[in-house]
Amino acid sequence: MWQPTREPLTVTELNAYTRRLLAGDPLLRGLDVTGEITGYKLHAPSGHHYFTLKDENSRVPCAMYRQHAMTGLDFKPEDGMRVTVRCSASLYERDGKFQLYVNSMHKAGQGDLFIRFEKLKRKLMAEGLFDPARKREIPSMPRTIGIATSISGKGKDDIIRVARQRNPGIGIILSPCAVQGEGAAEEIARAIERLNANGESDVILVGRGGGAMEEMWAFNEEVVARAIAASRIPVISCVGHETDFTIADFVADLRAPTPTGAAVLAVPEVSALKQELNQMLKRVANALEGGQRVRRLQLDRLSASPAMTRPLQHLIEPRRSLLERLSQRLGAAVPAITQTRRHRLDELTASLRAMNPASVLERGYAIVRQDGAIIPRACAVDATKPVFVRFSDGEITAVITENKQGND
Amino acid sequence: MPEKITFEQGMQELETLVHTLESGQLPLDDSFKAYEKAIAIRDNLNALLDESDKRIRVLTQNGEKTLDVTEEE
Repeated sequence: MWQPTREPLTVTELNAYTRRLLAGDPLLRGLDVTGEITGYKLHAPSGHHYFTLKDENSRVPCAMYRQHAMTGLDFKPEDGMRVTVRCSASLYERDGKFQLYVNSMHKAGQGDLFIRFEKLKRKLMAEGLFDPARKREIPSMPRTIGIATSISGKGKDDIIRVARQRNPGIGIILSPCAVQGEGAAEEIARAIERLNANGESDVILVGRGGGAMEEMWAFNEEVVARAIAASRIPVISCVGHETDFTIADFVADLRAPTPTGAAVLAVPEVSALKQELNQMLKRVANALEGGQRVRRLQLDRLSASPAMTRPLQHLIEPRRSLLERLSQRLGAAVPAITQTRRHRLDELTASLRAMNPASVLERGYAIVRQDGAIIPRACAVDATKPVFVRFSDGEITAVITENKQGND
Repeated sequence: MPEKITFEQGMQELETLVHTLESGQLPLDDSFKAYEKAIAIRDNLNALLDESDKRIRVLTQNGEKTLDVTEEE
């Protein structure tokens, strides 16, 4: 008869024991595990994430609680994604389920690559390779574009199609290279160098169509960055990853998000340019016409001026009117002067008349003279000599018979 | 093409001509010369735009070859 060797454990006891055992293990308390996500579920009410990590041989269930997801998850997990989780490994006692309790999750390989990326970025930045002053100007009207990309890729087709759409006559030189996998970076660099050696391109487009970040990795390699920096021909990068920048993007003279975008940036639309050109010519013609019109207006204005239309009147009129004004003033001035003078003359004449001795004589006075001198007083008379008495109408000689003065 | 200029140079020259003409500072004689020059530049640039190279050349390590393009959609 079968007998248990010891007192049997309950399931709960077993699970509790196992959980304690695992919890006591220093490795399992905090470790990184890499695997591929499968069966991913976000439990909406709680906000917890549940999924399984697997590799070729094994799988392990995982739980990431909401509070950890808030800080430790910065992308949307999907089935098939390779990730590395930082977690503790333990037993979910209720179900006897061994699982990982995830604190943070990162895309796999990203950690390593990310560190390399950052290191190279810092190094090249310190060398000044990203310096805006280094950026060459992209020619606005390239005759020929060089393309460094995979000859079988969709990126090449996009560029050629869009470039030809915008300018059917654009020259295209393709410099093929692998854009992912072993040796891709070196191939990209050599493709850029070939385009420079050929020298016919006005601008180089380097890149590839979209894909996962890992597939873009060649464009994060130093050798590519160096080739872009050394290119004499301006370079537009177009590594088909909308959001993330590659090192190539930083070094390039211009970054386009996709090959299509690069073709749009590199190749102007001929029809638009022609339109612009015609617009300019129209402005030239307008300016010329405008200049003519202004000149004609000036001429017209001058022609209409009195000096041009009635030159004689223009010269004579003002002088005539001046003359008239002057003679008017003169006419007024002369009589005025004459009258004043005449008046004064009358006055003088009157005074003169008053002072004329003849006029005194007429009033009954007479002048007495003796020996040629006028005798104003009786006492001045020499009674022994005759005196001459002058009246207004003549003179008489008189003899003095009596001088009453002498008797007084 | 009578004169080898790049498209940028031509456009810039044209722009300058337009501004000078529009400023109205140019003597009549020079205005006509400027206009003629603008026309010549325009024709040059149009010729540049119409220049056509339909080939797609491929630079490989072993030299250059021409790719046959069947117009892909």
